[in-house]
Amino acid sequence: MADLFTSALSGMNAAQIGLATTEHNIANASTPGYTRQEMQIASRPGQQTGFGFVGEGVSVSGIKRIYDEFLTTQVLQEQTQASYLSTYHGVMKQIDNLVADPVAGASAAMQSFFDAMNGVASNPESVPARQTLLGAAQFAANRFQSIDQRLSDIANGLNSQISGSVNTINTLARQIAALNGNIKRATAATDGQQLPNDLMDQRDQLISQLNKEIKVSVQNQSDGTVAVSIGHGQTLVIDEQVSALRVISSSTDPSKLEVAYQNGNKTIALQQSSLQGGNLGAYLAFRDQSLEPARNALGRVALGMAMSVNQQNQLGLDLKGVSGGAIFNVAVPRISVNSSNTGSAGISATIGDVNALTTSDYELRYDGSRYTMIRLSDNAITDLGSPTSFPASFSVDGVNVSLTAGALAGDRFMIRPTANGARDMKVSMSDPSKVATAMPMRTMAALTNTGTGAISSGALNLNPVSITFDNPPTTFTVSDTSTTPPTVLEAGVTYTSGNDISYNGWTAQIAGAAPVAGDSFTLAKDSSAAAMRLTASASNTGNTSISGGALDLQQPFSITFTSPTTYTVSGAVPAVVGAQTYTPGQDISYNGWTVQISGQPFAGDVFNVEINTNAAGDNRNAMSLSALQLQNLMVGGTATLQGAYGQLVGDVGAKTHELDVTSHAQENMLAQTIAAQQSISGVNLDEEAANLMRFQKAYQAAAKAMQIAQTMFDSLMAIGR
Amino acid sequence: MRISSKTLFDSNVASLSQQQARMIQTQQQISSGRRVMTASDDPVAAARALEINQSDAVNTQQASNRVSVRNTLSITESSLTSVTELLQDVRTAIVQAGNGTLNDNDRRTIANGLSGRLQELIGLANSTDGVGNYLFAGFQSRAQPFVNVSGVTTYNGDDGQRNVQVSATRQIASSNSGADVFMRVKNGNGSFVTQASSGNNGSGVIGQGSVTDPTALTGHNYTVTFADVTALAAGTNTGNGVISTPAVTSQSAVTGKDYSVTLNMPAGTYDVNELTVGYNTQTISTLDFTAPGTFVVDAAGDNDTVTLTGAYADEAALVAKIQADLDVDAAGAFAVTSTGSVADGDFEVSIARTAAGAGSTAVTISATDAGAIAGGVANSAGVAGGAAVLTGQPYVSGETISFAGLQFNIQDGSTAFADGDSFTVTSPGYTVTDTTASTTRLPVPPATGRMPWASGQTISFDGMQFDIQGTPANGDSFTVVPSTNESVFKTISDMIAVLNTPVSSSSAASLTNSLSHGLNQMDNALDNVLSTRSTLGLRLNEIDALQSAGEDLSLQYKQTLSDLLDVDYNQALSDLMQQQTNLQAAQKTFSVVAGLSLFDFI
Repeated sequence: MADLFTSALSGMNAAQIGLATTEHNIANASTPGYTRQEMQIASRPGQQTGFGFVGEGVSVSGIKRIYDEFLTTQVLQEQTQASYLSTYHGVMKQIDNLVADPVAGASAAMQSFFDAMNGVASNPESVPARQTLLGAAQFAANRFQSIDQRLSDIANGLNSQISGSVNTINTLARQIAALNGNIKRATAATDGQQLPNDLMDQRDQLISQLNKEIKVSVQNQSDGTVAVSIGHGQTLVIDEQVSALRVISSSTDPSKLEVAYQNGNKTIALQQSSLQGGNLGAYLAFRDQSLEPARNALGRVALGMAMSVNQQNQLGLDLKGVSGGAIFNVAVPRISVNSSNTGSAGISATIGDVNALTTSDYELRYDGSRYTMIRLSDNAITDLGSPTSFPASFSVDGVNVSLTAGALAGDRFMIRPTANGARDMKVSMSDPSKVATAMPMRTMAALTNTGTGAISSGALNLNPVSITFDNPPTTFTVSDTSTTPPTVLEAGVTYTSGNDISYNGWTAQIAGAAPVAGDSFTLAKDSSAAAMRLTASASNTGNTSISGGALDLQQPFSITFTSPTTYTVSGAVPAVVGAQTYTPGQDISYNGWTVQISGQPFAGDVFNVEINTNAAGDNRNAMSLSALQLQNLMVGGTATLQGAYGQLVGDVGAKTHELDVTSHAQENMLAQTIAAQQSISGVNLDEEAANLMRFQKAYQAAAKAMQIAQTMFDSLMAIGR
Repeated sequence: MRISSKTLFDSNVASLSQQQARMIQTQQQISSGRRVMTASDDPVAAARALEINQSDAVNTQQASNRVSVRNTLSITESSLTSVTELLQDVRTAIVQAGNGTLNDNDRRTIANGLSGRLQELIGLANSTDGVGNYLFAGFQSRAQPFVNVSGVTTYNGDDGQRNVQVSATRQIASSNSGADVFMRVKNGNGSFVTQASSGNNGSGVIGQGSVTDPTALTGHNYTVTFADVTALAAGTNTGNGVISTPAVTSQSAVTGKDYSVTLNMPAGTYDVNELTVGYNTQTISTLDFTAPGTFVVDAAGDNDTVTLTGAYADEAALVAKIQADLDVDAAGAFAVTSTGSVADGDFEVSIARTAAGAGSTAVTISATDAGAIAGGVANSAGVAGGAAVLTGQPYVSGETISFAGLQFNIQDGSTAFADGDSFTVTSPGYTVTDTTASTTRLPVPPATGRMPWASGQTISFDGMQFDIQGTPANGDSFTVVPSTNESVFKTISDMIAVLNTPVSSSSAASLTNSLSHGLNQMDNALDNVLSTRSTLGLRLNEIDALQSAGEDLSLQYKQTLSDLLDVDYNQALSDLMQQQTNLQAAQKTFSVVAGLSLFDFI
């Protein structure tokens, strides 16, 4: 009889616990991270009797989480990727909206600058047209600055987002550690028999949240705790111990926050690229792979525009007949000496050739014997050798770097050629008359000429030139290196230390006691100034050096015909001796100018190349300035200014588009994985309703059994009465 | 599969919000009219659109350039139209000034009129484009290009020409150098100037000429000199022969060469008495007697032959024949006597040469062309000697000599001519000398002498060609020099000065010459202005053509941009409808699905 009661009671108990579990499930149906629980029941072992085992009811063995570790891990993986992509997409959209905007983008500003330049080219005398140009220049510079400012704001915002993300990670890590403790103790209290389901759900939920910030890997420990690590195995949580993350200023760019790892009292810098996934991974990847390249690309376009326009303007004459100056302030590369350098070498850099610039940053390294330049975008290495004389000059990808002595092995220098390009672009010209619309020289056929010879208006001849010492090195040969093979301009020039050497409008001096046969020097037009770039060949063994390089494009000369087929030249530097043979239409180049004479000149005819004074109406240089718009000045001669900007827009657009697609795909993937995981672990209310009914019926049935047992007991009692 | 209730809601909410997002995007596309709102919507189209935008903007720049060039050219054209009219007026005035009935005062009045026109012309040459830029100043558009200081107008501008980009590949000059329009007016025919020397006596008039081969022009100065036929006794002559003035009998045979005519009269005595002609026996003592009927007499070295044909009726006929063949004149240079009788068929003829000096006998004449003047020494071109035109011809005083279309004679003067006397005969014609290089252009070396010439005949050398009409006198010359630039201002100033100068009868010709030069120059100046105007017209035409091409291009760019960026309304509206249907369906079914709960039944 007693076992009847016991049995019924056990049924009622079980049903009650079942109901409680079901209600717990129903109550937590919407709780994030909740895993449905199921009561585990088993029949009690029967009581042995002579006729067999009589059942003793049911016993509840435990409440179990319906939990699939594989699916949960998969959700974690998809989750971190999904939050990485959607965060990346979110921040990327900011740049996307910024650069391609037809009104706010830089393309429209460049266009208005060149529109205004075209206006000046059509009306070079017009001061209002020039004023408009300066206004448009200001507009373009402002546009570049403000886009850069906006990108800079985004970068600053990223700093606080990174800090916030690191704080969240630390907070979550501490909560996980605390839960680790609770779970460990709760588990220990049941000798590991029962697990604190809801605590584990909470911990899983925290891990899931942490995982949204950064990709983590989780190891279950035997005591119920988990070890959480990030990156390349840096342990964030183990047992109840937390190793916090910190933000520190970058060693290469103090304006940039980086994530470091706090281990005890030591702060260990982490390789930022190892921190993947999640919001933090997205922020870091966005900054390194999208934001900074975008800023560099923007800076490159700004530099290209400023330097090309300046260079062309410097070749011309302004309204007052003075050689043109700079229209824009040109940014200098951003240089930083690594804070951990031990040597004392100093570094400086200038832009030499905008055409060769990339959007990458560079690192100059010294390994104790050789210098190397690493292009960080693709880790391409340029060996710079082991210079012995300092300051040593290197030229890589259009950047001229000068390094003073004192580097020690392991020293590093960060060079960001274009990072400041847009930020520091300013209009330095305020006087509209200083726009150099005219060319320095003009040509004129004398009115007394009797022949039909006509002279072209002339063009600059700034072809690069090389000077190579002959054997024996008492003389040298000057060649124009713009042709293949180089054209010899003059051979066997006697070398006198320090004497002026003038070709193509420039004048330089070679000095020093001991030139060696084969030593060579080159002169080429520099992007950065109205002067020539002088370079001594790296393989020179002599003791001579080159200096000067002043460019003077205002040296008149005149061509006098001595017969219909010969002419003499006066005023050329160096002087031209003897009669030259006339071929109609052939280039005649002196003093940095090239003219052509066509037709039939007669003896005594004179053609003058003279200083272009008073040339308010000359628009030739303005035409050249205007033509810059359509010249492939950028990216190794493959893109115009606006084309280079278009590449930036295309890159940003393509990346955003890619992120849009992949983040959507990832969301779907995540949703599917969550659905799969939820199909195991999620609460189905209909199922719970059915369970409610089931347990209610079970309870009612057990109670009925109890009632029957009582009736039986009463019957028994009635017998005794 | 088990579905958790949360999933049911979550997935439905996610799906609804996705559909809503899509609808919003479609709606935004429709309301903005743009399919590509940010670069990420279609990165390729966005980047391409930037390029097209740039091309479109550049095309727009060029369109505005075309308008600006057209305006400048139109202003230039209208001021050049005024210049044309003015120059025509000036030309008319110059023609008027040539009227022989005008007196000094009349001409002065015309000059005053021209002064006014000159100032007007300077004003036109200093035209501005309406905002103060000089049209004809080259690059120095802010400085007045033409300045008249004490009657001389100078050009202070330069040759600069402003080019403007009017299409992607075409730059058109929007300005013209004032030097080209007003200063570089070539005189003469534009390449060279022909002029008669002031001292000419003949009636020769030289034409303006033309260029036949521009590449052969040298730019040198030339003189064309005419010489008449002449005959001159050499100063070294010992005799006293007088040569007549040669007459030209055949113009076409005139060679232009100089000839040396020499008379030879060998000294000493010789006798040909021994010469016997045997009618039958044909014996001969001292001279070579060859085939029957023919024998050679070589007494004077000129190998005369005598040809006897058939029988002669009598001795006299035979003698006459011999005399004729031996070029023996009737005067009896040779005495022919008969020593036999015809009847016996055995007569002999004896020819006796009388002694020299006894009469005008045994004279021969020779002539060679100029190549041989220097005694047969090879000339500079290596051609030895001139060709002989006469060789050892027996000659008697006064006999007519003809060669090379010339005819003359030499007569004994006070005394007879002597052996070796020579005379020079020059053909009539012209020579051309390059005075710059001091070389003879015509006749072309190594020939000497002169070019035969007839009135109106074309003279050409070194790429030039002109003619001379009339008859130049001996020694008349004409100069041919390269054209030089003479500004239209100078021409008019010169005209004014000429017309202000009183004319006497002696300076009337000079006035005529000056006026004709002035007329010619005005024509050249007009041509110059008209050719400038025609290039302006061509440029304006080209701009019109480019304008329509540019408009087409602009339309094309706009179309491409629209294709790239703009929304396709049909597509978008249909998308919107579909999305709306989808969303409504999802909303309805969601409420149905969510509303199903077992709890409703317990």
